[in-house]
Amino acid sequence: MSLRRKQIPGGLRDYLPEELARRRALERRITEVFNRWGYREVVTPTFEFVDVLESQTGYALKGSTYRFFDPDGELVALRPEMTTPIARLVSTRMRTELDPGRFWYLANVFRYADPEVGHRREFYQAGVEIIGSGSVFADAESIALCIDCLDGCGLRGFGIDIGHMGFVNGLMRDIGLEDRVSSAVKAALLRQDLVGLKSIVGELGLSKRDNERLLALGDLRGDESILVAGADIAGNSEQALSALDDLKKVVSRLRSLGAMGPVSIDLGLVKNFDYYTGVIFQGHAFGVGYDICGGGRYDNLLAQFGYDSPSTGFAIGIERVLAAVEQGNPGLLNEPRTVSGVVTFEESLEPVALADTKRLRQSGIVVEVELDARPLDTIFERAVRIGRSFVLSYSRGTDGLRCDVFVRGENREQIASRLREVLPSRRFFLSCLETDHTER
Amino acid sequence: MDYLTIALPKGRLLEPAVEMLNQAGVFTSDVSDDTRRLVFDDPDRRSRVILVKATDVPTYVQYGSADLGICGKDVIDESRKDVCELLDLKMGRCRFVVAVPASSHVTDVSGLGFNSRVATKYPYVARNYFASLGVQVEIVTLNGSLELAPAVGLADAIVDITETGRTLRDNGLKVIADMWTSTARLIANRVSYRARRSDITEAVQRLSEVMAGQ
Repeated sequence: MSLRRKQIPGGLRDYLPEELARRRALERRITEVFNRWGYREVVTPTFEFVDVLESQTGYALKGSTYRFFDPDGELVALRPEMTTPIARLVSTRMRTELDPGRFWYLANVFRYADPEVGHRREFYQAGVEIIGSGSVFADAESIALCIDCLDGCGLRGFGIDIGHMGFVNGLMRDIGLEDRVSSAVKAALLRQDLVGLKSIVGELGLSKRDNERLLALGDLRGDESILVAGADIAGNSEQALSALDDLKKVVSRLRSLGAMGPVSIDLGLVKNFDYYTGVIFQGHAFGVGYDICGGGRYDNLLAQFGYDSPSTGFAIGIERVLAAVEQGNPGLLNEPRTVSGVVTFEESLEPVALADTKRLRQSGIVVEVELDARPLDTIFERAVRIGRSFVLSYSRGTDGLRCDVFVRGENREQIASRLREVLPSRRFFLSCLETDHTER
Repeated sequence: MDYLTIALPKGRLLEPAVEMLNQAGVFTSDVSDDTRRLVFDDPDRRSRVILVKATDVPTYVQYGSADLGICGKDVIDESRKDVCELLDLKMGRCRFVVAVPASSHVTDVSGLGFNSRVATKYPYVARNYFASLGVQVEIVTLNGSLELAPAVGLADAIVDITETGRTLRDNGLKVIADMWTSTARLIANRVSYRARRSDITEAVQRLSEVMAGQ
């Protein structure tokens, strides 16, 4: 047999029921917060035309989308992120509903990555887009909402860094760097490669002052006081000064929203997508070696689809937040124990037993039906192993129908009375599931 | 606060790296790779050193098992790991070179071609280097004794690091290209660098001062 037959490609994964239940619990917590802030869910296709998806995602995704030809001969790709598809959807189909449109999504995205480097090729993101507002208060709302989601997940000790594309770009323009050099500087900042930054800047033959201004980008991170230090570096660049002004307003708004706790300012922050134009941010948490969320303002993206509309948003990496929550707060996302059981019956009692099963399920009790009429011992062993709280067995006794309930755990009495409540006409013989049943 | 964990490479870089950390007061206990111990704590400075194989340093740092690490640029580039490079420690200097047998008629890299095999411990770095020059060669990955490969006909050339070039000469090889010079770097986990910024900035500051004083 081919080895491949038992494998999946690197960077992909399966979810087994227990892990998936925890992921779903996390997703529910996040999407409930989205709903509470007045955002509405949208879904876009898993793959779209390459022309749409690669319109402005930039160097980070070049060569990392999964492209293929569909049978029409059209070149399509699996979505590598959700902002561009939503920009396409809104600009083509929802223009009248804006001012501003608040949308959320929960979706899997696909990026080719070297699995050796530890990145997944399919991963899940939950995020929002605020489309049609150029206000910095939209940026502040997006950041505060992201923080509310992470709080809502039970994540503790995370941090959010806020920066502004206008600061980095304005500074570089003021110094008069060529595009090629600007890209190299941004790439070094993105990798946080300070040695690389120093070597690029060192080769430019700039004045001592400009040299220091560029190198400061690797270092301007801290609380609000960084904005003052930033003003020194910004010089006469209007773009950089107006970026600082935006950040001041965002900070003040975040304070009113009670969301400044985890926030730091990082004036050297850059993002891996070219479409960002204004305020940007990203989040980190202990125990996860990568950013857990990120986003920012992208005022020119919708214009790519013929609809010029300023927008901002963010995405949360579900698996990364899940890892951080489970490390900091194990068990938090475990399912609450529900009452669940197994029903087994003698063949002739099928109509009675299955009618009861239906009523139990309608009342919210989880019921599995034994399919193979195995001996009770086998059924008990399995029920205990998979965490069922009772086994209900229908048999024909000397005086007619007999219902035995074998219950497990401390709240045996509660479970039994719940069954009696749903099926008042049955007389139950109650036993304990864990002890020896032979005495029965 | 948790200990600041620093991954150090066993081998030639270990002693100078420890000395530098000692002088900077980042980690002040002794570290030795003579014993079987792999973890060394400095409770006063709340820092911890772990000893790993040199090529594994970027891996420990990328996955966050170590906040900081010290290793050669050669190792970082070959590993392709996603880590922040904070400081050039200017030690452990060595050159990446392309070398061929002294008797070979090849005098520069363009003399290698489709039929040439190049042996190296650094296949990624080597492939990138030749690709950037538009020279297509076959890369053969070896784990040691590279000098032997041309002598026994396994390869026409090798890509290796060398401090003085002496070992190459002793083995009858000549350098036909200097690729670039590698030095040891201080690297950091991306998230540690944000989450523990003040601890790490202080360490970088002190190490820079030690270097400036040398």
